[in-house]
Order: sequence, then C-alpha cells, then structure tokens
Amino acid sequence: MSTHVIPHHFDNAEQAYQSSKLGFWLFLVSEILLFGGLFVAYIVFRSLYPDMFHEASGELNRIMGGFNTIVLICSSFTMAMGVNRVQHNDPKKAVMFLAITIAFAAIFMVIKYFEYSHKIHLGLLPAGFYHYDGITHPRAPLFFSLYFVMTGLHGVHVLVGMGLITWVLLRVKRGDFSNQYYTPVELVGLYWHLVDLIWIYLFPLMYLIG
Amino acid sequence: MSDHKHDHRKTYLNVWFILMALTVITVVAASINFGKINLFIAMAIASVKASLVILYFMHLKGDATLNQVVFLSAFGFLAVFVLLTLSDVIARPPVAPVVVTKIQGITGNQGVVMARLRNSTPEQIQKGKAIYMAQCATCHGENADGLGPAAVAFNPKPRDFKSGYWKLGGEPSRVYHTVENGMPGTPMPAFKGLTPEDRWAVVHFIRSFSPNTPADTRATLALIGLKPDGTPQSVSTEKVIPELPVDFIIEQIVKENP
Repeated sequence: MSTHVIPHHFDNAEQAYQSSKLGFWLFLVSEILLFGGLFVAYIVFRSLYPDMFHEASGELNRIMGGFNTIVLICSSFTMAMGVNRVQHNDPKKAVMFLAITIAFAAIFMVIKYFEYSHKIHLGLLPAGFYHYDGITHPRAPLFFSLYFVMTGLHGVHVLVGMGLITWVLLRVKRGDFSNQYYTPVELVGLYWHLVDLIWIYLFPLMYLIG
Repeated sequence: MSDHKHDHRKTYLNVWFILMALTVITVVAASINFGKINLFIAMAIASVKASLVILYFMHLKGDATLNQVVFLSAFGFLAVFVLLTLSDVIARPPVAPVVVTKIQGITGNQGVVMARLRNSTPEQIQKGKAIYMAQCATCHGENADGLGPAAVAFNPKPRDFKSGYWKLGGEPSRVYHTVENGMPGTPMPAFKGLTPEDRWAVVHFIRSFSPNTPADTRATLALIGLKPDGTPQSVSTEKVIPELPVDFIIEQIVKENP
C-alpha cells in the first residue's frame, strides 16, 4: 500500500499533484526549446543548401528509421497503459507494461547503434571528421553534424528515459503507488511521450526528405 | 485526480492504431515525388501525430487550463525563435552560386597552383604573417619563438621556428604537409580549413625565420603531388574536394563586386 506523505507545504494531495505537474510541463517546455534551437539550425542550413540536404539524406536508412518510429510509438502506447494500470491499482500489469516499454527503448537504441556504426564506418561524420567521397556537395559534413547532434541528443533522452522508467518500475513493484498517489509514474510517462514527440519530427526531417 | 478515474485504455489503443497508420502513410507519401509539397505533407502528418500524442497519451486534453497554456506557449516561443532567425537568413543576399564556380577554377587544377605557390615571394610572406598572427601565434608566439600564451599548457611544446630544428623536415613541401595534416601525437592540428594559397603563405612566413631552410628534393615534392622537377603531374590521381572557407568567400565577393 501507499506510504506516501504529502509534503507539509501543500494543503492536500490534489494540490501537491497539480503543482508537480505544472512544474513538469514547464520542464517539458524547456526541453522543446532545447531541441528547438537545433531545429532552427536545421531549418536555416536546409534553406541555404536544399540540394545538399536532399543528397545527404539519401545516405540514411529509411527502413531502420521507420522501424524505430514504430518502436517508439509502441513504447509510448505501453507507457500510457502502464501509467493507466498504476492509476487503477493494478501493479502487476503496470510492471509488465513498464518492462515492455524499457524493452522497446532498448530495441530503439540497438538499431541506433547499428545505424551509427554504419555511418562511422563509411566516414559520414560531423564537420572535420567527415571523409566520404560518395557525395559531391562540399557542404555535406554539415548535414551529418546536424544528424549526429540531433539524434544523439534524442538518444541521450531515450537512455535517461530508460533509467527513469526502471526507477518507477522498481517503485511500483515495491508498492509505493496507488490510485491516491502516482505522481512520479505520471511525470515519467509525460517525459517518455515527449521523447516520442521529438522523434515524430526528427524522422521525416532526417530520413524522408528525398 | 478525479479525472483519471475513468478508463482510457480503449482510447490509447485507437490512438496507437492511428499513429501506426500515419507512420506508414508518411513513409509511402515520401516515396512519391510531389515536388515541394512533400515537405508540407510530411510536416502536416507529423503534426497530426504530435497532436494525438499530446492530447491523448499526455492527456493535455482535460488537463488544467494552466498546464495547457504553459505547454502550448512552448510552440509560441518556438515560432518566435524560427521566424526571427529566418528573417535574418532570408534578408541576406544569395552568395553560394557565385562562390562555387569561382573556387573550382582554382582547385580544379591543384598541381599547377602548387607548383606556382611553392616558390616564396615577399607578398606571400606578408600575407602569411597576417594568417600566422590569427591562426598560429597563440601557440607558436608572435615572435615565432614557440612562446605563445597557450604554449604553457602543451607537451610537447610548440616549435620555436628560430631554432632551425624541424621535426618533420624543413623543406617547403614538408612544412606545407605539416600545416595541412598536423603532427600526430602532438597538439599541432591539421589546418585543412585554410586554402592551399593561405597554407603556402604561412609556410613561407614560418621559414623566413629559420636559420635552416633546406630545399625540396624528389621525395618531398612527391609528398605534395609534384613531379621530381617541381612541375605538376599531367593527370591528377587524387579527387579534389573544393572547400569554401568563409574568409575566401568574402574575398571573392569583394573582388567580383568592386
């Protein structure tokens, strides 16, 4: 059963929950603006070198990117189901859904690993590390700088999300949550959906602009 | 927490199904060439998917009004960020096409350029001084004595050009090769961002300090792709990838628009 004590500076559980949630939405806003800066760089350079983006994007593997999109959407679904089960006092199923979410995240990272190692092998690397002669445009390294920084930052978020989901999974197992208190699960869920949200834009912008 | 009492599971399943379908649609749509509309289709589908995730998975629909305002404000800020940046980019005159053709005229015939530039001239030394002060002096020192402000942090220390000692050889071609490729195992970086013209200018400037300035031999000339007599190879075996350093672009634009 839940042993959660409401912090003394809140009137009641509802107020504590809403405050945590507002704080977390604000954090998600800052996350969007963090990625926003990279998207602005993408937009500017793409408007300067449209042909180069077209050519360089063709080097990315659409099948792997598309598969990863599906993996993340499924993980977002199982995350939502996990949060739902915690809210309905069903920790057994909640643990199962959270574990599946972590598994999907791991699949995503494994595919990312294969994509990255292939790019590194070919020399499709950022800026000065670039050494690939299959693309004629002299500005091609720029695309791969953006590719690695944007998908890399997203990948870091996936890893952090895996850690956070593991943490709430263990707490669900321990019986920390109930339909009266489940704030951490809900917030980790929001974080995970944002990770999915960013990939929903990264996928077409990086892989599909051909 | 009352708003979570009812079960959303059916909604989640429907949203999941729509998201999967939209992913397939966006991949299929991208494989058909609609010209410029492709981008708009992809972005429209992504935005529908994003809205579904936000409204149902993150249940912003039905959340407190304050949370809705806070989260949607992110997209307002993002719009300001994008539009103000783009207003600058769009207002700039187009420069790229002019530059590309110009540069290829020079680097396309690299051997000839190399053969010409490897002979030191007073103009080159003067030009090299300016580049040296900007690129090299921090480590090698303003007086070329290896005592730049950053030298303290380095091991091995930067070369004192007045010593007459050259680790990788003092022939013009060898010094050029070191400037171009750096010195592995030391902090000396590769200056691939400089044009061959600028690299040669620096080489001639550096060598003007040294009491030990050996002339090129067959071997050192081969290092920069020249024949033993110092003339260019008739057929270049290496593929030349033109580079466009900002300074060079500006220089070209100024030359073209007096």
